[in-house]
Amino acid sequence: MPTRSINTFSIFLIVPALSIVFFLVIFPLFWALGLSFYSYNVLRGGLPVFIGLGNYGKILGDPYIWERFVITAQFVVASVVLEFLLGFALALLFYQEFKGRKLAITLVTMPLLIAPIASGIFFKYIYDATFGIFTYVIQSSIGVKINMTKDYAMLAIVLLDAWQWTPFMMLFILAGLEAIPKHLLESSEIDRLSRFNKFRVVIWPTIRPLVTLALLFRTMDCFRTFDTVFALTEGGPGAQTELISIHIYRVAFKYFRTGEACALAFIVLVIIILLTNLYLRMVRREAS
Amino acid sequence: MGYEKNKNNEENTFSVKKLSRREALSTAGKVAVGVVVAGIIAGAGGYYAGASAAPPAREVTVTKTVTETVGAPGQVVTTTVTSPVTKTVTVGAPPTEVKPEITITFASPEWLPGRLTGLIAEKFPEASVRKIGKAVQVKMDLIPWGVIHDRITTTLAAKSKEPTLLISDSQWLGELYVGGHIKRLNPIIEKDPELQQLLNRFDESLVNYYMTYPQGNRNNIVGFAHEGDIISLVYRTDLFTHPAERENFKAQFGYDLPQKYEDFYPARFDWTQVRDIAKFFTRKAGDELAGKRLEEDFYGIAVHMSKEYDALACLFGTILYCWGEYWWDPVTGQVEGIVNSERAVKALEFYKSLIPYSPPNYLEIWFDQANAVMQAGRVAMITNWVGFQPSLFDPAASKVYDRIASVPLPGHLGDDGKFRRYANIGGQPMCINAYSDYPEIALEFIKFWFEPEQQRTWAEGGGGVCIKDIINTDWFKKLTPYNRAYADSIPFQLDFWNVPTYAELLMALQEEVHACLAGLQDPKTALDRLAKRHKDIIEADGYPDRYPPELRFPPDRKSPLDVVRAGEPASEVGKPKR
Repeated sequence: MPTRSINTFSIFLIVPALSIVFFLVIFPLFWALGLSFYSYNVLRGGLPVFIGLGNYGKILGDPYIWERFVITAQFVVASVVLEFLLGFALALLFYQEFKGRKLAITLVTMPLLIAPIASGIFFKYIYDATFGIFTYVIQSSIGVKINMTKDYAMLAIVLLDAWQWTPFMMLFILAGLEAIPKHLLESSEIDRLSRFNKFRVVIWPTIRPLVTLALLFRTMDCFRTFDTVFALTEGGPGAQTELISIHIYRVAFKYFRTGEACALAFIVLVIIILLTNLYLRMVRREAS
Repeated sequence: MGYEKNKNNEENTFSVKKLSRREALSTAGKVAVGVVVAGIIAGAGGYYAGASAAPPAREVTVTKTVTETVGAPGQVVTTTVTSPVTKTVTVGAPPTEVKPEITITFASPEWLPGRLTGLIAEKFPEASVRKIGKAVQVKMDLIPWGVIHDRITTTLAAKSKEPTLLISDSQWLGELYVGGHIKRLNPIIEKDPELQQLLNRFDESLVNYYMTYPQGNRNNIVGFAHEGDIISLVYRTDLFTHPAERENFKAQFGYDLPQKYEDFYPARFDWTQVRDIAKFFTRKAGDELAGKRLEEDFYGIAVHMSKEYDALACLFGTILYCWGEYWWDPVTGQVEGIVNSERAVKALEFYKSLIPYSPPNYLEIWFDQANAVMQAGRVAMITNWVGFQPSLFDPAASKVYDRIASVPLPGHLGDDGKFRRYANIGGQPMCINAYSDYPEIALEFIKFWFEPEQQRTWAEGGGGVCIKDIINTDWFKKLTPYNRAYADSIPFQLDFWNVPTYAELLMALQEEVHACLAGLQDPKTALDRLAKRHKDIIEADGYPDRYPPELRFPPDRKSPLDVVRAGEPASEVGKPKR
């Protein structure tokens, strides 16, 4: 009896949370999935027309959308790799004890506290080819006037993303480094392991799960990056930095092709799920 | 082992200082009491401050600039002196407090015209008692420009009853009307002589692009002009009138630099002259300009070339029309051979040819960036919406506030020997929500809005007046440094598509032309790609075949394409074909 009453009470307690998840997440998700099989423009009104996989076929056959997928892939790979390398370097730096270490860590993690849309606007001013400080510093130091958002637009958005999210990667890797048992490091010193072997045998196996997790989070995040890039380049010049997330926004809320936007969002969701599984499989394989 | 590990970890944490439980609770308690006391004091203070504050102001103080032309009789050079003055504009001052019985909402962009509309609307409760026997309050919903389209369209898609009144950008009219979200006003106007009379008080361009769908079809009046806006050319008077610069320019180009308003308009001032002047004034740091050594690079012209919203579409459209071409045929939906015609390619080549004389951030230049470079005194000419020009003439914001003038945009002498002067219109109409419970009240507000007293306040506060018998008065033309250019420019305005697919058409245009300006593709390729994308969008939408006749452009009327190609006045749009 007590067990049963506890169970009933437990269910009673979790019903509100489950209801919120159901009505705000699960139901809209399935509703959107359903809409992705219809031709429907929410602003134009009228009844949705069932077209089966028509939206998916249209998207996958549209060269402009493929261009955006390629741009997104370039952005994701470049950003995540750069953030990983810089994050690793910073983590190794902050793994050492030195005066002002804690203050330095605080300062380095500051970009994480800034709203992405604000970062985008800051960088728009920083990169500005007429008045921007970046242009001024580069011109003063090497005598070349660089127009980042015109000539190096992809680099400009990757650098912005790296500036904001490298600290995130660094914190994960630093947490992994801090977790390495001291006696293992001491043993490796006693055994006179080379730096490379010390990294390969002692450090990397310990930090690998956290690094994988950090890479997973950043990859998923990069795929849905919208605000920073929209504020900085609005996808330009031309469509050079038009990420798939920006395109989905336009299809959904500028063109109001609701069914097509849902289909596109589900394609991106499937890609992210596949990548997640890939990462998790890697982690499991390493663990086993 | 586990305990030891935890202990070590604890020691390694950032919280080095240890507190006893009692100390911690005591500190937390003190902080909590402090916060509560501070909250009570702040709340009480705020309440009393609010209660003792003066009632809402009924007057708005507007810092304006007054332009007067001075010069001794017989003097060849006329100098324009612009001085800032502070004026208090009476915007309301209702004599009695009227308790509102009904409240309607007016959704508007969050900018000066929106705020001014709110101040003027404060008088409506009293006026509505006189007119309809009910006190109606008009509450403003001011929405930032960046999100207003999303906010209004999603609200209307949800069939919300409010806002009753809404500002629609001119190109949204098709998507809002075809979707059934804004009211067709003809049945009401037909029964109301006052509204019929009102219609005759707008310039043809404003009726065509702010009030009708399809453009120029008076059988579908879907809004009333609210905030008029046009692009004008702002130039540095001190440079254009400098004797040495004038002499050098004439020696180089063989004609005089324009120096007074009439040299720009109604004279046949050409876009190619703008390029000559831009080229002439483009200087490097260290060069001399008007007798002074430059410390920084100086640029010839800053024109809108940004990818944002419709930034480059309006400027390139202006040049396209002047070159005798349009975007499409609104009667047949045809695009190929129009937007990628030889004339269109030449227009884009010309637009691109301004880049060498532009600031380095030319690909991001819109109203704000154009203003910034002029205010910093680093450019000879800019193009900008008059709605954004007040800060150019503000001594607190602009280094050159007293050395600039605003004139109508130039035209172009075409390959057929015709001089065409057109420009792409800005500005917005106000529309009535089709789901509102109070459309009659909204129309009463519209009538109230166009009463002389409200229009006077609107003009004095810096609003874009749309009534032509006000625009054409000397009083209005002298009210600001840019009103004269505004008044003279209204009759030659055109607009791009306002069909439901405008957003897709606009995005394709912005992308392809922006890529061309960035040097990623040549003008011919850009316009060929654009034509293909536009064709696909229009065909997928089924225009015009799938549209009922009343929602298509009438084939017996002159379209903007007909007018532009023939080089006729913009007012001919919508007139019967002969």
